[in-house]
Amino acid sequence: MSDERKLKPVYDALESWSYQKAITHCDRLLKFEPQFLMAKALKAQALARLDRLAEADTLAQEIRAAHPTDVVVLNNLALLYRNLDKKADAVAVYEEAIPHASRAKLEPICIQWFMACVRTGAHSLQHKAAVKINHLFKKKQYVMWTIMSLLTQAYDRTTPDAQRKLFFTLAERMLQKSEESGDLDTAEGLWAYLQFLEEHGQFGRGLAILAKPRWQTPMDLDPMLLDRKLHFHLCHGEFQSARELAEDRLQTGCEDWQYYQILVDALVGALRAQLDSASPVVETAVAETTATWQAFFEKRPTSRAALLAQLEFYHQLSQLAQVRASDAQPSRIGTLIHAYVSEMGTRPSAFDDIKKYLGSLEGADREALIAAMRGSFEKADRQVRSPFQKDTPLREYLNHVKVYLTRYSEHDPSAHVSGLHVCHSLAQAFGQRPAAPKDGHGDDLANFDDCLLLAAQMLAFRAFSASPVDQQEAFIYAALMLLETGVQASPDNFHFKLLAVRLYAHAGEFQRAQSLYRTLSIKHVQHDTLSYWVTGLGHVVGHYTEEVRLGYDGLTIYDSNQVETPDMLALALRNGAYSQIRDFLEFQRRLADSLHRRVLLTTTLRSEFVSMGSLEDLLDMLKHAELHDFPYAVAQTVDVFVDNRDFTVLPFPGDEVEAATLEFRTRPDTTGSGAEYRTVALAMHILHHLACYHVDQLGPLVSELDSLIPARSGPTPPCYAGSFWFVRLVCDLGRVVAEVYAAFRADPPTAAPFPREGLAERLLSVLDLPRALTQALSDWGTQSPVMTPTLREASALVELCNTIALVLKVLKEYQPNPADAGPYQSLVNEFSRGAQFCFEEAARRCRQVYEGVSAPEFQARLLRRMAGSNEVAGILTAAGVTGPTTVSTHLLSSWQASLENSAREVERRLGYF
Amino acid sequence: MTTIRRFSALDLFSFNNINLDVFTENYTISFYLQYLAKWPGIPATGMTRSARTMGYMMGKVEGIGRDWHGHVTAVTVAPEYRRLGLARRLMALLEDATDRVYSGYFVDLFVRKSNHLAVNMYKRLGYVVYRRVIGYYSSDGDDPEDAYDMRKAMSRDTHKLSMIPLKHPVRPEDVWN
Repeated sequence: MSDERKLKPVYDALESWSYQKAITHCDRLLKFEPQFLMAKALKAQALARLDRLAEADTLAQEIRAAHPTDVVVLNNLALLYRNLDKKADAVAVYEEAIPHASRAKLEPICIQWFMACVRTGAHSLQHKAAVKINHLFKKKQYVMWTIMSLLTQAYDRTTPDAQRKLFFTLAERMLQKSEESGDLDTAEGLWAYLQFLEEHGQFGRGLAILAKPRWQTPMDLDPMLLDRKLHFHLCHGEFQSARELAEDRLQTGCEDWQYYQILVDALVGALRAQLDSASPVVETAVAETTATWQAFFEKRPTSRAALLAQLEFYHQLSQLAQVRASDAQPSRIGTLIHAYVSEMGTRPSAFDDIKKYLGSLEGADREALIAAMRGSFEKADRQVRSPFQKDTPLREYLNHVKVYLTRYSEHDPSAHVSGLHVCHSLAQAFGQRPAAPKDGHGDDLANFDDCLLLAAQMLAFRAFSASPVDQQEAFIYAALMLLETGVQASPDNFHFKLLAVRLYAHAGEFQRAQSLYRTLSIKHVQHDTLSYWVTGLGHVVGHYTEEVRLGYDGLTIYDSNQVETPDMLALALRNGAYSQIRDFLEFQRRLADSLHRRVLLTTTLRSEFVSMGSLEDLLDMLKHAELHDFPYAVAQTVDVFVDNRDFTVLPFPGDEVEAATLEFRTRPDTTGSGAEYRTVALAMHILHHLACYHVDQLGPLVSELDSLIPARSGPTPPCYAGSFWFVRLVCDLGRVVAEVYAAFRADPPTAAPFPREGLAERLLSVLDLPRALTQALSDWGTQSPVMTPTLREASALVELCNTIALVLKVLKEYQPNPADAGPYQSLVNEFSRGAQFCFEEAARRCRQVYEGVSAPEFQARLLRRMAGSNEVAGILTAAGVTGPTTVSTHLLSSWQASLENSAREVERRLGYF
Repeated sequence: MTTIRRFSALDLFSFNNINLDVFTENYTISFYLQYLAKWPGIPATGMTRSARTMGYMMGKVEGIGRDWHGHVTAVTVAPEYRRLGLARRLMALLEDATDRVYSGYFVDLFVRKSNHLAVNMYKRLGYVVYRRVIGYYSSDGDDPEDAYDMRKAMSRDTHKLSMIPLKHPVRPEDVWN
């Protein structure tokens, strides 16, 4: 009987997760054949899966002692070690097998050795394996593996600069040699080489390589390779060649924007070079370039891209310092914009296209443009309405609506009425949907789901742009009611849940948001989508346990993605997809450095701390967490927040906090995304944690924050983490903590005198919290975007008490030098008295808030809000939503629970005294 | 304002504007990376001037003998960039690669039977319904839905044999085997 047949029952048992059964089968086989290594390896796998790790490890050692050379046994051993998180052993099993392997078995083992290094991130060993395998078997693929291993080490951020340079130099030499000798003979190899040259600004060499006859065929076959050549010409300052190639591409009917862009860049680049070098008569040079440009476009019919290319050309021209004075360009830009709007204004992306140039318009031009835009909206509106009346297929209609939706919500507030008309039509379509067929899920039903989804989306857009708060609430609640109706009608349609999670989170409704979020699978959540909206909300309403659980769920997603990526890296190398290696490594790194991941970790740790109330536990957790898991400030932080989705692009700035700057984080947000305030809220997180652990780094960070924040003025916009004032208050507290630490924690005690006077003053200023608290509470009532003021107050109270508790714990747990013990104790006592007063005030207020939202009152208020908008009520009726029961039940029970929780948390703090 | 380029692993960080759309399938990260690792020259993406992802195409080549063909796994465009011909451009890229680089006999794709808009678009691009696959789309909790296997012959299939429709529908296992 072959080994495969003997082992089949074991494989079957493993596949059906019957691990005990698999062990029994293995034992039976081993009884007759004690040295059956494959049976031992599979038994070890089964043991590991039953969490009998020590037994699995012992068995693995036993197998290794027998010096196996069968690659399947080795693969199983390596897999086992990876599961046991013994990465070095996963590599070592292959390395050990090499001296014992026959020539025939050697190559597969070496390949697996190399792949094991890739999978475990052992870059240096990976290089060693590649060199050895190349030396033994001399194949072109192994040369490339060696080169890619050098580059992998160079891209590794932990590699010292000097070594990195060396790796780049070695890789460059090998690439050059391989290209010249013909070893680099695949398009993928060429792509990788060009990538390298582009990264190092060696465009000339890249062009020289691409000019070789043997690369003509790959370039003919891969138009994107030709695009690289074009790009290289432009970057190398060969404007004429770039222009000719771009023109060629455009002449062949390829209307991609990149060719127009290169054409414009080449012409303007050439002009700029001319102006910089020879200083000729400016008007002549500009006139010549413009004439060339016009000659090109006269031959072409007007197309969208061509029209925009002209806009881009004149825009770039107007940016040249020498040309700006000619004063001829703005009106030309205006004319082109008008032409574009009248010809292409109904296109979905029209206004995104011309946004960049609108700033060039002045006075009458601007007014004329607004009129033209309004005209195009009306045209789009007619397009939206007409197909519906003609019974156009629903999907087509929806497509029109989506176009319209983008238009009306982003650009034309006056379209509000017709927007709601569309929304009403959609809700009506859902309300009148045919009954679901008995034999399954009918085609049309899915379409009607879309109707409801779009209607909810439109209401949500409307809510975000509405004021006052009452109206916002009416739209949000209505959208939620439609979505809850959708969830009930189609529980498997995850899009209802995706939108509902966001809206519930926006409304401050943590419990429902998180319960819906938890029903979504990893496929829908990926690594950077909705957890942002939900995680963090639990903290402010005191649901620490649930928030911690949610945080770990989010981190699991990152972990699983990170585990999968190295396998894909190995797959890419095996398949010769060399152009992908750099991006795969970068992808992996960005997952690890993800800002969102750090926020999750920070929030989770913080919630764990607050729920346990133990500084020791927090410190212990922080000691085990990597330092770079905390969100420091770098330039990209604001960008990722502005993007509002991609939380995964934050590079780690290094271990020096001083090197990072908060300037970026507090940069005014011009996008309306609220990025500034979220980043300030993040600063709050940092302060908490640094206060506990990295106290020596806290000082400069707080000073910087302090110097930036007072400079800001004006009304405080809504912020998920509370008002601006509140953040400032927390910063003050953080500063106090920092100074207390700095003064008392010197080890050994320094000669610096303890600044008792100054410290006392600062502490006393913090003791004035009740007054500040009253001020904050009166402010929050008017600043709340959607969340009810009462809930927001309660959330803020919990947050505030957490902060004070933290300070208090720090003060109480510190053991001062005997000489300082007296004054220190009196300060602590004074602070405690003030804090106790503050807590009592907070608890009283919280209980008051909780009692103020009794069920009948809350229900009545919710209904009042709903009835406040006839339009909204009409939409709900059209959709067949009979009353606000579904959502109001969720909201009422959840908010009550949140308030109760908040009150309990604040009262719990009083136990400190 | 479209720039077409190769799909990169880093695009996975910024394609949520497309993937959270109602009609777009969302796969696991390793699924996308696998395509890039195996067929790096095929997946492509369209970007706006401001580097916003407009749409993308994932595809592969597979099969043995006369079944050697290109396969469209996903072609999708963000709602705000539809009706600009981007899907057509992305499909053309895959067809070009199948035809000239890999010498495949045909390109095929699976589409939900109910997605009339997509079916009509593929028909306009020269695809025909080769066969119906019963209950091809099914996942936990969903009722299964039939798929159309649509095909378009490439120049290697001179007599367009790959496009002759089957008379009877097939089961998913017939497709996978």
